[in-house]
Amino acid sequence: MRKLFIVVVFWGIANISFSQTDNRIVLTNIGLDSLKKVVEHHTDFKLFYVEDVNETPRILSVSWNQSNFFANLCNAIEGIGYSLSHRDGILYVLKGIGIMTHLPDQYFSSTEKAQDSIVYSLALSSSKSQEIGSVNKVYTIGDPLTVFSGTRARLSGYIKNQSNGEPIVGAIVSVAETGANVVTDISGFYRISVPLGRTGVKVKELGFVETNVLLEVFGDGVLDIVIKEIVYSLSGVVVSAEASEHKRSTYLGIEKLQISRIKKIPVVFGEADVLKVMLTLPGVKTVGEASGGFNVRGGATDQNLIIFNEGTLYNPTHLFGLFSAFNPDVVSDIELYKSTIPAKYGGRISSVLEVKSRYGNSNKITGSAGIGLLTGKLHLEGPIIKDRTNFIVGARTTYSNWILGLIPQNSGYRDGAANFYDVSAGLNHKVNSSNSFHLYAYYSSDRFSFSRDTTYSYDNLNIATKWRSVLSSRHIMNLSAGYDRYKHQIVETANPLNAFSMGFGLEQYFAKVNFDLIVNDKHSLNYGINGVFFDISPGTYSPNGEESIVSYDSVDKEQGLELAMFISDKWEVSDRFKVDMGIRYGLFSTMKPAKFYQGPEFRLSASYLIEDMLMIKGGINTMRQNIHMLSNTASVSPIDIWKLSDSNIAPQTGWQAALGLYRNIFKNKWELSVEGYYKALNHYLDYKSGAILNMNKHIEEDAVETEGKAYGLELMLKKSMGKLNGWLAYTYSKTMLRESGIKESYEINEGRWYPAVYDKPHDVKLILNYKFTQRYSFSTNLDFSSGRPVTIPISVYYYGGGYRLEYSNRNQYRIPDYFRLDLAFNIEPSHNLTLLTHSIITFGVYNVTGRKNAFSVYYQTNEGRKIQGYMLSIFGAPIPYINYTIKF
Amino acid sequence: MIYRMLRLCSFLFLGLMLTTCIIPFTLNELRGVEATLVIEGDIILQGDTKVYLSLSRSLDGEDVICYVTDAMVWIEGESGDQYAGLLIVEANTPPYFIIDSKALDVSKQYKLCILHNGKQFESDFLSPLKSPEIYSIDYQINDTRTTVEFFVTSYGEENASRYYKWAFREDWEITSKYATNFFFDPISNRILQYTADPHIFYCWNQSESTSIIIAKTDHLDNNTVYRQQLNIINCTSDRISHLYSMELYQMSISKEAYDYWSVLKKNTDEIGGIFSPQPCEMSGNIRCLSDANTKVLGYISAGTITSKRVFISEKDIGIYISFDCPFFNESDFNQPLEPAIPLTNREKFDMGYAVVRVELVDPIEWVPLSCVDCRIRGNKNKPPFWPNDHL
Repeated sequence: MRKLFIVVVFWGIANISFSQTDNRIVLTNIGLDSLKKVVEHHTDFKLFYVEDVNETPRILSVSWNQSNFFANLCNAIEGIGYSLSHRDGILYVLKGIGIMTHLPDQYFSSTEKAQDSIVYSLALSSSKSQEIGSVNKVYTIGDPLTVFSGTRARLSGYIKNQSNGEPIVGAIVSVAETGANVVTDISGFYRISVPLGRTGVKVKELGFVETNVLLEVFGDGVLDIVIKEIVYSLSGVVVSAEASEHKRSTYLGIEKLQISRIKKIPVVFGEADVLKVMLTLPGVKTVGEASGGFNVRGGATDQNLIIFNEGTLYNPTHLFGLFSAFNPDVVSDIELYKSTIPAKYGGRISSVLEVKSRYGNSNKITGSAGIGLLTGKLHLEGPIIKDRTNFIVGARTTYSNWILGLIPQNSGYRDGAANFYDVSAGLNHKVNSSNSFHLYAYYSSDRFSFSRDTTYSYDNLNIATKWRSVLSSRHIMNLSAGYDRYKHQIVETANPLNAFSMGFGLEQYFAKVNFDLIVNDKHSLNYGINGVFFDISPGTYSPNGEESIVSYDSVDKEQGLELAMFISDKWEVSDRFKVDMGIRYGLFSTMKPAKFYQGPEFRLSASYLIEDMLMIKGGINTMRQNIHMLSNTASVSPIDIWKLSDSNIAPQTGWQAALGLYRNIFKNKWELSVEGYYKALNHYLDYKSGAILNMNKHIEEDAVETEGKAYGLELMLKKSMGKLNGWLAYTYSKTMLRESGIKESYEINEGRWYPAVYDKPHDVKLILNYKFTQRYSFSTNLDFSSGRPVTIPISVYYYGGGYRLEYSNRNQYRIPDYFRLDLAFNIEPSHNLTLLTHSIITFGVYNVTGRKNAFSVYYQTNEGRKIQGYMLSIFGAPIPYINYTIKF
Repeated sequence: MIYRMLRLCSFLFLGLMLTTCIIPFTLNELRGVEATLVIEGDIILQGDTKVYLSLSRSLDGEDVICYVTDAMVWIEGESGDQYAGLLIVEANTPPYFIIDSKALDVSKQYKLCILHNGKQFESDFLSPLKSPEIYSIDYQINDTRTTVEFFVTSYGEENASRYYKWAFREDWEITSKYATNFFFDPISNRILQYTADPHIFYCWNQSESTSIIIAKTDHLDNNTVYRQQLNIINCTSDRISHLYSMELYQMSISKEAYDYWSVLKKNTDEIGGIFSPQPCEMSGNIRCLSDANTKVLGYISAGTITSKRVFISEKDIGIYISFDCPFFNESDFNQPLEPAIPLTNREKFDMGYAVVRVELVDPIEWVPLSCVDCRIRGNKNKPPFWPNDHL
């Protein structure tokens, strides 16, 4: 009744006037319900509001005309403690979200015109509609009274998330007039040159409302832009940012995935997994499900550099590769460089995978907790000193011991125990507007005992600190240093006299300095120095317990220093043609005995925009790698050891050339891309038959220097927008190895080419998401690939009192093709932003068809007589799962 | 040890996933592989060298071992001395070539040579290795008293080879479950009483080791093989039902031989798990001189053999669980047919039953033949060294 009353009052006292030229509306002392009626009556917008029933209704006064409708309404609504959001013609008035219309920290350029710099933060998301864009404020950049020399000014600033103040990494900032675009760096910082006069800047980022800002440019200036998450979908609908992925740089073979996307993709046991998700991308393969490593474009598993924040991870998996050891609640996004690798990265010859953690909410303390079939996890983030220091910390652990209880009694493994956990933490401190400090720590630990007698453990530790300093508006420095460690140990106590423990440890200390310098409109440089000191304990074998007669043994320590200097130039030859040229010079030396290696690496890529929707890119890069993983098993196993190059083992080298064509089709909604590559590897290590690599003091006697070649074609059709989104990828590829050199006799396949164990020529991947409503969405994942090569027995003979098998040449045969279909269903029951907590329920089925995919085949002589082939499949049945996550 | 651990991992997966499975599988591409000559037989000093020649077969081939007899085999010393082999073909044992190698000198090098199908095969020249005495063979019963495990312990000299290989021969005595005085005579169609001991209560069985047993001590302070596992016998096995004997043969081998056997063992036992090493081709120490492309399988060692025999009776082990021997009387034999037609004794005999008890009042009781005649489960080849007077 009261609502009705207010309406009456409104009609009574409001002064409303309309005219063709100036539709001015003045409202005084009205409630939200009345506002709704007026707005919906006089404009094309719909207005929704949620009023707190426990409060007295808020009264506001507002007036507007066509040109200041948004600004005035926004101000008025804020005045009563509410916020205004706009999307697709609907205005939302919600409580509790502070829309930032105030000016935050002042940023001044270091130029003499510093006082002229104008800082703004924008709260309102603009729509695609031109009318709405035109009502937005025009921001003045530079001093209108000063004459600026030149035709282009430099604009810089930070892109931030409106809801929590976190910097947004990798957002694309583009200038409509010139087509120039840049990507925000790890701190959300961007720099772009803008033409003088009236221009528009557009900010795009996955999961955020696309924001347009109108500028009147008179000179250099600073502009912070606050963009807004697409609120209606906590599930992270993919928006247009991903579609522009290929356009944002000259790089080929670059894949970026946001955590919201990753969380959607069905995985075994429903644990959102940043590593497994990469297997859904073209050009990324693995020898089999549940194996830890991945192979990028024909590279071996040890040729991928995995960087988490600043540190290098050597075995980022839990449970032998079943899960990756990254807490998905802490991760912001992953970026995989399959082809072009920026000059600032080095040390591995196949790919770089960069996993970044989030900065943490800078407005308030928030967090989440979740449980799944195997793990429980928790994360917290928030400010310590508001707007200066914030933290994020996440932990995850397993309670998988119950599963061991299900193992049949007679297996003898019921005494086993499995335990793992990981902790990641980040602390970010802003010293002032141009200096910030970051501290990262990561620890993961796995521990298993299969019986009372055998315990096996491994862990990763990374500590890194980073100092970021904006030296000038043209020059930025990133300085980081840290410590990484990976070690594993096996303890066997079955026989007290032979009880032993065997361990491996790798430590590295690193320091990196990296500068970004904008030389002029056309050139921006990236240069710096990386240094890594490796300290490896390849193996220790020691008695365990007093009775043990095992004698202590160890393989000599290995130490090495790797130094690399790099410089690269991003050159905008024209608006359509861009080139990125880089060179990296690496020096490597081992200590005791000293051996020195050096060599240059070249990174070259170029892009040409043939027409608006069609782009061509090409690139070539050469790489060097001084560390090798020694592995004789099909998949990455937890006891694989790493070895530095030495006088017997030369650094691995490789080069890749690639060409790509990208076309947007169907009104820009679909993106079609084709990339082809050829890659060559040298000094890769394969092993002689039956080589035992642990505690081997003369690896070089068991290793065989191998060369490789890989080539392939990757086709991808991607739809990033709409209710239905996802991608379909087909890859044809070959990876061949052969013993290198000219020899009298060869160890492997008489020196002929043979397929690598991960050579799977045909590969089809399909990821689809369909969003029924804001609450319900559905995801599916389809994976088909050729069977991997195996070495199998070709004949049987009787020897040593039993039937034995004579094996074929290496990787001469293939296991059956792989096929898997997964489904997942996501429910987000509560979307109300005023609620304290939000929950997400995910359930799904992994391997719906229950196909028994072969991981490997082997043959056994049953009771010493009949030879029977067997196929081992790891997930040979549909695996249902459910996950519950609560955010607070 | 590591690989054993890794095999456990795959078992962990078996349990963990409950969905991990192993299913039979055949690859069609593997048909009609050419047979390869397989040469087995170590050069034994102070004894006879036995050389077995056979051919490999394709996986889908018939389950028979094709032995080779049309060959010449001899040992050749570094000084050119030759010791010819003699083909022995006996019933019930595979044909082999025997070479009298008692006179070989432990300080000289020897090689094994084979001429087959016009092609000559030779092993590398081998330095004979002396095996130390076997210190002990002992056994241990597991916690749940379901198996008994046998171990060997040996002390080698410090500067001697630190690699060992074993093989063993088992003999065991079994008894019938019941002794009986009666039997059904199919000729007279009557149940008769034995007039003399039928010798069907005590029998024997023989077997040889089928798995590869090797060990190394190069990682230990002293050259001691401590309780190397030899075999595991289940509590339901006949072997431990009465009296068990094992004769163990020990040989010192070279590191290369150890590596060969360990790969062979790995290829047999430890392939197919998630972290199993990739299986691999192997080359032994035998070459075809006539044609470098001709493959040949096998590894030859040279040395002395030491042996040790132990006897262990059921009373000492005490975990044997006997098989079931239910008594059948007339009513038990009644078929589930209506009306029941009683079986004749002849029919019972033909069905594999034997008379176990005949009493005046009760009906005749029958048991499966294997319960009263041990020859079904064993044989009467009593070893000459057997330490009792059972017949």
